[in-house]
Amino acid sequence: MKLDHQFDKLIRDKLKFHQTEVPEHLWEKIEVQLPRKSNKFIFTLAGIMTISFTLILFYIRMSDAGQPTRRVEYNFRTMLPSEKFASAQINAKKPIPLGENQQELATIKSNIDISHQTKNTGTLYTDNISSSIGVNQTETKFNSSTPINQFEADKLNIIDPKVNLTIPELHKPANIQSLFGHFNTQNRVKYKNKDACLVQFDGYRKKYFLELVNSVDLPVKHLSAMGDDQIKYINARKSTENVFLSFSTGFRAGLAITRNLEIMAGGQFSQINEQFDYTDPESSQTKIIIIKSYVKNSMGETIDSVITQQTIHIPGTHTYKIQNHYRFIDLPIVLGYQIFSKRRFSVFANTGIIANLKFMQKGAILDDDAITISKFNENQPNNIFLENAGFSSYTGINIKYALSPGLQISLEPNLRHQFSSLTNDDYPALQKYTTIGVQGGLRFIF
Amino acid sequence: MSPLVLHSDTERDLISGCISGDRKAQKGLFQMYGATMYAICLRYAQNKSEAEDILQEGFVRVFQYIKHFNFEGSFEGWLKKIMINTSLKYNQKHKFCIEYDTFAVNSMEEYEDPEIIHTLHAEELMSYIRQLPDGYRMVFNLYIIEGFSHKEIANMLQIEEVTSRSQLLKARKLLQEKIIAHQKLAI
Repeated sequence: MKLDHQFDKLIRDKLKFHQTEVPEHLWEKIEVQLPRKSNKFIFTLAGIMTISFTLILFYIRMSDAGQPTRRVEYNFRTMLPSEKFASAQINAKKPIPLGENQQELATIKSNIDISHQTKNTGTLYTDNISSSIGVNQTETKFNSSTPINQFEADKLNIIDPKVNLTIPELHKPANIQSLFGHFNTQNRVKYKNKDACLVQFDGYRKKYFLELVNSVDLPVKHLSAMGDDQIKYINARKSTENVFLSFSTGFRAGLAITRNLEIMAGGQFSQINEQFDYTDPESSQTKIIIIKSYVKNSMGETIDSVITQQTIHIPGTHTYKIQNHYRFIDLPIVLGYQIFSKRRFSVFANTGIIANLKFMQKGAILDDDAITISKFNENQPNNIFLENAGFSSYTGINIKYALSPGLQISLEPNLRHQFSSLTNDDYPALQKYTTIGVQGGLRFIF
Repeated sequence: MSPLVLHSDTERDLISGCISGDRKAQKGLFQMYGATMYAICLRYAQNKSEAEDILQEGFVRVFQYIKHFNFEGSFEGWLKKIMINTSLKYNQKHKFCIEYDTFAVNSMEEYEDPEIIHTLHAEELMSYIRQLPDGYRMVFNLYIIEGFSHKEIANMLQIEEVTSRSQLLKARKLLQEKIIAHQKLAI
């Protein structure tokens, strides 16, 4: 028994702290089974931003709805397209003749309600403005039977005849009627639909919109080696992979914060297309060669011919063309600033951040031995690419054209640049994209 | 109360990294303890291929449950426990029936000189252990090297305590025979 204990102890001492070298490939096998680092931060951030944005929109909408009248800042000059009007007003010192004015108002069917709010800074506030195509008909209407003899033009205090007016007496409906009657009489301005469009877009400060966007993209791939010993591999990849025309599609919901500033957020799917040309070194092509041999006599004349057939195998000739697709589901958050505006056209400088929610890959690329290939698809995680592409910057110039008060079309040349590599830390190359695109959009304004 | 165990900064950093899912930290931890854990797996497995499977499965579990490690005990001890449990589960899962016979075996009388073990390399000794039948090997490892009692082994393997004892005697006998044969060959 004592010997047994001694035996046990000797074995224990020999093996308890023994180490055996681990096979090299084992870590790769373990790594494949490990869950990828969670993207909780990105998802949380994206979630918080989306919820915040929705709440802000909701709050603003509700606070608007709670007010008795909708207060909209309105630029007087924009409402009246002709500059002659302003100069005509400067000279208006006398009560204005009426009958013709009444008829004019009836003709143009523009109902304007300017109630109870004036501001001394030169901007006139109105409760609502509508035209014959306007969205809301206001309650205060002027008709041809209303007497318009109370207008006192000399009470108009014109601060800037081209831009703004302070009109202390405008709260009196009769005066308003007189004023607009006068405008039309003096300038023969007809409110056509296109002017009403202008009124809508230049007038409102708070606007909600939903934009459907589609973009044609040309990606530029940045592929770089982690070390000098990988340069050959990178060159092999560069020579076998070519980017193609790609696309993105999505929507952006937004809010015009001020006349010149708007914020948007939404969802976007984009796809980068590539072609991978791979020549399999182990493949071989079989060819049948027909050999015709001529039999000649001593004089050199051909007297006969023999046809033989040979089969030969040419190695490394099979080339595969594999379509690689890199797919991104993103959350774009974009801020737009108006840099130009004229009539129906407006130009915005857009900039923002695109947070990736999901990154998927399908296709194949060369392995780091530059001979074999690694295939990957969307359904299985792989050792090469991350599951989340992180953040990208977004810059664009948005050119808009108003088709109607509620509808705009836009064209937006844009540039997207990924901040970080799409590859895993252990992969010997860094891969990311800069995308140049032209985005077409359709904006619905609410 | 758990004994106070000091963890080196490297070990602590690696563990923290693994908890947050950092792939580099996971690889670092594997490189730090892989060889020790592989040796344990080799003792419980029948061959190297099985040992690799166990090590693989064990480390996946380590990274899965590392967030529950509270730095109170030895981390290496915690790792070993997971590897041993994984080895036992692997054997239960992949071998339909491990035979545990209960015949009593007397202690070896002809085994005169335990010092003979010094003439063996650890790798040779490991290969002899791997050649033991599954049931013998489990009990032998758990009792002699890991230091569990027969009662604990009986619970772990869900066998009778007496079975554990007899398995140990047989394992010891068989191993001694192999060592003696080795000694004779060496002479």
